[in-house]
Amino acid sequence: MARVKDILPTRREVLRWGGLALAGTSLDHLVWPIEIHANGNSEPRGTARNCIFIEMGGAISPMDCWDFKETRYTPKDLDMVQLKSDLAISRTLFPELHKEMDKVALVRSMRAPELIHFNGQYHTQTGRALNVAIAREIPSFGSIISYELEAQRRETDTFPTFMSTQLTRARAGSIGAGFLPTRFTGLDLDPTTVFESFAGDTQGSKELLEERFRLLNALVDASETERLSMGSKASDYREFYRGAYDILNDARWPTIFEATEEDKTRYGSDEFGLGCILARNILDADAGTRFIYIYDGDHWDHHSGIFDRKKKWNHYTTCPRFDKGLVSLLQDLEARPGTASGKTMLDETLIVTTSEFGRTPEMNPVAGRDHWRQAYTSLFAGGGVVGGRIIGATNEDGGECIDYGWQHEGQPFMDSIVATIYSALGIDWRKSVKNTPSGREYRYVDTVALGGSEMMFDDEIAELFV
Amino acid sequence: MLAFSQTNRMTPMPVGNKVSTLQAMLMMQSSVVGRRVAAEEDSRVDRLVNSDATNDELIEELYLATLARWPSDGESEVASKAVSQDRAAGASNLQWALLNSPEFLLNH
Repeated sequence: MARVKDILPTRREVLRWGGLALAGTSLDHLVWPIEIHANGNSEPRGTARNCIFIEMGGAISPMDCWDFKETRYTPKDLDMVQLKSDLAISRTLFPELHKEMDKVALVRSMRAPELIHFNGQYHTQTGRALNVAIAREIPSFGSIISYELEAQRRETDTFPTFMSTQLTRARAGSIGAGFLPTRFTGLDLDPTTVFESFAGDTQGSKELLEERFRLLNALVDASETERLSMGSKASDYREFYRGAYDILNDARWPTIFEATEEDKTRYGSDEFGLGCILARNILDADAGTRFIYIYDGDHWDHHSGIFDRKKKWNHYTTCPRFDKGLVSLLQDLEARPGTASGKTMLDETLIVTTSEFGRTPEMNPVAGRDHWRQAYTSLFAGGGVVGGRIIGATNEDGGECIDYGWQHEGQPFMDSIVATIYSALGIDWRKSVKNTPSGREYRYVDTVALGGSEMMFDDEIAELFV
Repeated sequence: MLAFSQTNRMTPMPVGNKVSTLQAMLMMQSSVVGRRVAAEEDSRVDRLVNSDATNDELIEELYLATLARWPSDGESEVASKAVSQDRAAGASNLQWALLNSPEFLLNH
């Protein structure tokens, strides 16, 4: 008789599938054209032209930060300010954000299915729980945005619709385009190196690049007619090289690396601050990018000494560092005009920041907080979001949700955030793709029963907007 | 190196070489590649340009050094046109094109 362990995939097999799925950017057999089915009854808002999504990798502690709970663990020096009956925030940890809370909305009833970073961060990038069997064909939600907004691209657009920073450093790596063609893969920049890599003399380099690209194409043509073709890899190569050439040839490209000393002081000159400067500059360039995914390192994973000032990364260092970048971004987008008259760029840009899950309300014996999935907080701003709104509530220690805060009888998940982003960008989130390589229907946002009475609803968090 | 599929030690090994837009952009215009192909500072290109090698020998040498094979007739023709116009610039451009060729990026 077969035992359960005989029919389960081995660790090696799971790693192999996972490796194929998570590191791959393309499948051998693309499904194109994609058969999209509208399933009705979603009414996307279309309140945002752009979206900046910030993932706080490792997971921020909600009860010390945006869902503050005073407990026996609370340090004395947080310099709390009570802004509203249900909103207190530390001025020590968030020296700038506490002044801008009227611009942001908080959802405090978030729930996650996962308790480990790899699966949690996979969920964050794809808007669904990891299913190893079909992971290879699942695109990141940024790639879906890129596909959906392709029809809106202008002749002059050269930057990819989807760009990201530091996603290759995320625990699940950078999820590719899945069943979508490779051109919907995000362009991932590493802020710690790109400023240097693409800096330098651009005078006269345009003609040189043109000349070299002509020579390259002539040589590739010459070798292809005489030698064996390299198959789909070579056509991917041509597509990527053409795209890369167009970007490098665009006068707007070098402008995204313009960061003044003042910018660096305001935003911070670490990878997060630089990532936020890049995001601002990319939107300024208006060269086709509509969705920017910023991965914020792993500084949030405080399993020990969460308030220990002797540690390099503790709340006294991670929070103010994040505070600078986020608030400078909010302020700069608010100071810029939007495309529609009377609107600011912030009005037209949805900003979302979230972790993959929460942290334990009880501190562990080494004064840290471990992973917790029952409740966590996500922050939203701009793009039609009503500032100052607080959705959902938790109990006295922040560990359990006591008010869902939205129209459904259950907590919102990352899937609901993806539906919210789609809605704001005008994308029908109830669409599905029927002709995936595996033949399994891919729903943009799925409805999943989680066992017991738990359920993921395929809905946006409408309460953020009305 | 993350742009070139180096893992971050947390993710599974990549399945193989795949070109991405960023890789292409770095190969085409980063300062590292820029210095490598420049005909200056005693680089391979520089040494070849200033050697007694004929243009054809220079082209063969760059092909052997980069792709470990001789150029085909068609490739030689395209390459010698570039090198004969301006030996230094042509050699530099040829080295650039070879480093950016699908054969170098995907097979080596």
